[in-house]
Amino acid sequence: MTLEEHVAAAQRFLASSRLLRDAGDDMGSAELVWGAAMQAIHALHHRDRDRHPHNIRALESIVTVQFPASIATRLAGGLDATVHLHNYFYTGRLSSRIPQNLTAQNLAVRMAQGSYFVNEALQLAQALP
Amino acid sequence: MTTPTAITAEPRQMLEVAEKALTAGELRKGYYLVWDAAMAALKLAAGRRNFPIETGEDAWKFVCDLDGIDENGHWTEYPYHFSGLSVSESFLEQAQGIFDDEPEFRWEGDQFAFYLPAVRYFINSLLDLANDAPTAP
Repeated sequence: MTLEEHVAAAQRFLASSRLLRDAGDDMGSAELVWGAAMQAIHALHHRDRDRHPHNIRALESIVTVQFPASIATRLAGGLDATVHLHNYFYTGRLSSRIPQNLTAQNLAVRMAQGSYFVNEALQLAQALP
Repeated sequence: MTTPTAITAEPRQMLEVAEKALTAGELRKGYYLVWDAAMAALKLAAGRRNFPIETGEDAWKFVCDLDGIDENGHWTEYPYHFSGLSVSESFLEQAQGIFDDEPEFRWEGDQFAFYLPAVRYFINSLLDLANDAPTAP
């Protein structure tokens, strides 16, 4: 896939995620945020293919070298959120330590964080030389 | 009132020890120490605001309160504290090995390095709160 195709796929997944959430399918919606995150990371690889293998460390290296701590922290937090969403899809548990009455709140924040991460990563992929 | 030096020293020292352990390849020990350092900082900040942290639910409520996250999960500014607690919890989960049989979720090698700055940011921000200084983010 080309960079543009990965970007388009990520954006399509985010849009589909919103539709699923509106339809009440939280797990499906969460998993699509994860899918969008993976597409965004592939888009980043297109910009730095020579230096990095195809794993999450590519993002780590790009982010920590080029960006101040607050942006790197947002990206790390956002990626962590997408991992939690992916885990939620497979296990049905958002986290073993999150109390039930906070679960919906946590899910909403993680969905927002994950989407935020995807959008920042896509902007980053398109901005890199 | 406790002096800022006394307040901030312990969690930062704990994090330094954690980072040394991680660098030395003692991953589980390091992961646990990262979590411990984050919790120490969280309890200091919460204590300063008279918000006792007895349970995990208390900790989540505290960070939601700090970040202005409403009951629907909406936030306007990026939720650094919520995120910091979440990433810190990921260190605990890795330490407990709950993903050992699930490679997709298990950290490998130095993958922790990507998440460590988020915890450092979290701890520094909490210690600023504990000392009534402006928050880091």
